[in-house]
Amino acid sequence: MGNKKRILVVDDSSFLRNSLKKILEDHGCEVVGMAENGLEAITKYKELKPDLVTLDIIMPQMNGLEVLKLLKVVDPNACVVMVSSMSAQQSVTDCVQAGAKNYILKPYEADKVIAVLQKVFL
Amino acid sequence: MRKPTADQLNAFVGPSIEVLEKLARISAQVGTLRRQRWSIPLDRPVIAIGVEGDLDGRVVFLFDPPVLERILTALLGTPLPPLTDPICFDALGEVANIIAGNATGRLESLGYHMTITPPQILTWEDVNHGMIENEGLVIPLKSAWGEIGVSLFLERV
Repeated sequence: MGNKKRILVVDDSSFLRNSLKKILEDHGCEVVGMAENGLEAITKYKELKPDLVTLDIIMPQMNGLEVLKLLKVVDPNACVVMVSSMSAQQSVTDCVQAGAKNYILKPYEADKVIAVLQKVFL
Repeated sequence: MRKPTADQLNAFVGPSIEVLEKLARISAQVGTLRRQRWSIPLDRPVIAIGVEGDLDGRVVFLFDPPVLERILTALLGTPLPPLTDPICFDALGEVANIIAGNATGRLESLGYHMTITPPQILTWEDVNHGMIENEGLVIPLKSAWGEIGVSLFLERV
């Protein structure tokens, strides 16, 4: 994937944050931060300016689609990949229309995550 | 609350079996549906996922202890923390979240548009305060490590 990509992982599940972090780091990415809710994600995005954000949708308080829209206000060029269990096509369409680069369906394999990131960074 | 339809039940059965197989290498088969009074165990979490949209309500997951340990071992490794530890709820909640989230795609193809809300631990107070009925229809998923009971408390809006 070229030079080391700096990634912010956003998910309310600590188990999934850590498992995604391991996948990303095993494949040469640098996880510069992790956030467990939308507000923390916005704050860390401003502070860390990552190359990419992986963003869960089903989160308390503010869902991932709302966070995505706020991130796009903060930085219209923010590169965001949704990572969600929601398999309804409407969910995918809503996220893509709001500016998501791609959508990874849970449960995922490491290969799938890396293939999507490679596609995004091409 | 009306009984869930066969289509609604099936929309959750497929993802339940697939997700258990993929995440924990557990092969499960559907047993005979039954109505059952709730008995909330104290030694392990009962997980509820909220559903909002054309269908509204909750999906509740109750795991037999051996299958619960099998799932958690696959997700968290060993040694396992106590089953009441928050990390166990976190991991089990994610399993329930993935099953319910995957079911939304199948329900969408049946004309139901909906979203889900984050997992919660179900307590006796939820039952006593009427947040769910005290008796529900259980989809029993039978595995070599015991049963995963999936109950739907959904109403068409």
